Amino acid sequence: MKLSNEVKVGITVLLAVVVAIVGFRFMRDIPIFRQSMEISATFDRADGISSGSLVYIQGVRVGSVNRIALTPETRVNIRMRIDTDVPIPRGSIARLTSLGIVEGKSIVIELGTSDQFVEFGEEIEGIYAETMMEVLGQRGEELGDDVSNAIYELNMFLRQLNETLNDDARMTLNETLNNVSSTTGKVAEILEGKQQEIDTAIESGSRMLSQLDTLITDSRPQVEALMETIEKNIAELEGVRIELESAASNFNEILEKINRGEGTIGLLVNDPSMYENLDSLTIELNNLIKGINENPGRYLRHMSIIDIF
Amino acid sequence: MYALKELGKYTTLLYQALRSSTEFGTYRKNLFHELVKVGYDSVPIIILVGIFTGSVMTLQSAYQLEFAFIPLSTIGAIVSESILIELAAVISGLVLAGKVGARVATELGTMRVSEQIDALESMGFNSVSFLVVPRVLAGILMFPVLYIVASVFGIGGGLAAGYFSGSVPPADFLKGARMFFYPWNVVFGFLKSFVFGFIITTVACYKGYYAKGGAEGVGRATTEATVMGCIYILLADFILAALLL
Amino acid sequence: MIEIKNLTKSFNNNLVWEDVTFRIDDGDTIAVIGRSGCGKSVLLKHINALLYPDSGEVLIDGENIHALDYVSQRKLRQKFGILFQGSALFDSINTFENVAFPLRYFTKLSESEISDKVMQALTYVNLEGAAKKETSELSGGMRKRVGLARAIILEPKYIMYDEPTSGLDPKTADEINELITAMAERLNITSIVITHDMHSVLQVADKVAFLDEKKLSWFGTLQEMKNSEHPRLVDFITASEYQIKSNQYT
Ligand SMILES: Nc1ncnc2c1ncn2[C@@H]1O[C@H](COP(=O)(O)OP(=O)(O)O)[C@@H](O)[C@H]1O
Ligand SMILES: [Mg+2]
Repeated sequence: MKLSNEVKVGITVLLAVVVAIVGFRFMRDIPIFRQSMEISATFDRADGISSGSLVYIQGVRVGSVNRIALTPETRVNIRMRIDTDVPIPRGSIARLTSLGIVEGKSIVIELGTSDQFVEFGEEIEGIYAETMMEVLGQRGEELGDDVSNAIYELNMFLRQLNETLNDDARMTLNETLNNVSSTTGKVAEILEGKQQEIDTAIESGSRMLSQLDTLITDSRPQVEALMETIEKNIAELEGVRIELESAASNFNEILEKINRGEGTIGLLVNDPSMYENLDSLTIELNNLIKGINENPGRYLRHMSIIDIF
Repeated sequence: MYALKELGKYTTLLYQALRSSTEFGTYRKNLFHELVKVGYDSVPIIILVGIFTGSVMTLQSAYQLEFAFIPLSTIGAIVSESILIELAAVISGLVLAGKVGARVATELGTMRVSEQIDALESMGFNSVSFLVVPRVLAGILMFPVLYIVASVFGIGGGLAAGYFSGSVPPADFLKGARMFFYPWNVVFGFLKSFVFGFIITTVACYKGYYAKGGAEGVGRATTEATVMGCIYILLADFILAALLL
Repeated sequence: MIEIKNLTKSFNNNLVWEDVTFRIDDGDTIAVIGRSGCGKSVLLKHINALLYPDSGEVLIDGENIHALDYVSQRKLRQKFGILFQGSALFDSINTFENVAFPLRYFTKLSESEISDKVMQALTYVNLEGAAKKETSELSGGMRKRVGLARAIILEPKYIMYDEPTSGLDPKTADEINELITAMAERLNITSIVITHDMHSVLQVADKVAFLDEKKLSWFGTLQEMKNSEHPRLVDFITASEYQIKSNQYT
């Protein structure tokens, strides 16, 4: 059969248009034939999310981000297309988070337990899960101030303690201070241990970045800015560590003095809140250590690819 | 001075083409003929170009990023994004500058030096409408279509190369490709191919339509059409990127 | 009637000819002669407004063709059939389609009417057998005849021949000359024959225009030309006559 010119042109154009539409919808993760579910959630911010970012339920990809819009309250409303037969209960929570060290941000829906289900276009609660790095990036300075304030107060308090300590209290106090001492030691230890890990992680990170750099020179300024923030954060951490260390040596000095039985005791009896202060400080320090200990990986989280582009 | 004169002649020809584009009856038949020659007949070479571009991109990205601390899906993202935004339009543009540009310049050049264009005019034809308009229209209509073909086969080729070489599993490739799929890139690529189609066909028509000096003149027109077509494509690519990105 | 008034043309400051003035009356056959490169083809293209003069005008039945807008100009051009120097057949279509070409675009004839007319024109130039041939298969003389058939298909009022016999053997050249004469008589067409072939001039022309030294050097009837003592014209004629004679005896 000999095709006429009109037919040839028609075939070419029709095929191209069909392929283009199918391909486009596929790439945008819009189901090609089926009408899908659409829900939305509002977050404080949407760093790292773009139209096309993926949506997960229990680790299974179920859809993608459709549209991102700033609300009048300067929060961020994100519409997502969900393509699954599993209904989503009311009271489910959308968590904007990142899944691993090098993955981009995505949205994870934590299913609620209600027996009512969200309808097309309905909104569910959104939570922006800040990563460790973001916390450090934003609060690094604050945190440093807090720690040094605490240490200053601690010093003041200990000076008073020095003057007021009595024998009865000494035993209890000794115990408490021993706790403090070992805790502080751990802080230094852990930070030192992690320092190496952080260093290697950053090293491989920067190697990757330089390789990416040659590939995508456009993003160089962003990468550089990123490295700068990381370096700043590390420097701040270093500062914190040094301060903690000096605090520890102060402690030791004071403990020695206490052991030698220097100072008076009267005031301590009149001031039981000292014990409480001391205890709560210890708890706070413990929490900080636990935080760092539990999530060492998060130091690298915001180096994920999605930020680089 | 010479360049200004050329520019003036080129613009005049474009103006004549625009003015006579309303005479649809004159070029209807030629238009379909050209749509086939520019579009349908170019599909095989564009498929080939697409597949090779995509697979080479994948293999080389995989090689370059082998030891890097990044997920494999990044390769899919790099390949598909590069193809959609740049390679599908530019590489097929360069190939078609050879295929379509050379053919158009030779055809019109031969018609000019053998007085066929004069013959058309003397019969009362509008030779611009008859010869130039359908070729330019075919270019701007068919290049975007060929862009789609190149994109699809480019990404497909990249995917296949990743699979067969074992460097990037298809699932990772597609994940990356979809994660970094920005519709604007496609719009931009589409626009580019439209502009390239216009450039290649208008430059080739211009060179051919005003060819002179026998067979040698036709050869010169063909060479210039191809070379200038390529240069203007790269220039336009740069200007579009500077303006729109 | 075609009036050429004070026509001057130069390309990039190279003067082709200046102040050319003559008139072509209806029914006449005018031969424009001159050496190669003297601007005969350029003059032909001015009559059809394929080229524009630096000054002067060409009036076709009283209308200044260069002053018209493009649409009216194209209408006026349809009064002309032109046989170009290289025939200028469209090489993408076959013989039949070449002749049918103007009919398809400028008339609303049915396919069978077109076929009739084309075959009639081809018969006229003795080429009825070549209708289905590709133009690349045609000999030089056949190409000229197909070009001629195409030129007369819309029944023009004027027909212009650009060196219709150049590059042909004497026998074929004679056939073409006969066709030109027959065309002028049977269809009552006004003809302009551009040539440097005196043999052809003697066979077909009523009047002769001699382009020389960048101007219209001489203009008159065929009889006047034979008696002329214009030295360069005589020179031109005798040079050609020697050729004619030598052609006849070889
Ligand atoms: N389009 C053009 N541009 C520049 N020069 C031209 C053009 N057409 C013709 N000429 C020049 O004008 C002169 C006359 O050419 P032409 O009319 O073809 O000669 P002939 O009398 O042999 O037909 C020649 O010198 C030729 O080079
Ligand atoms: Mg000539």
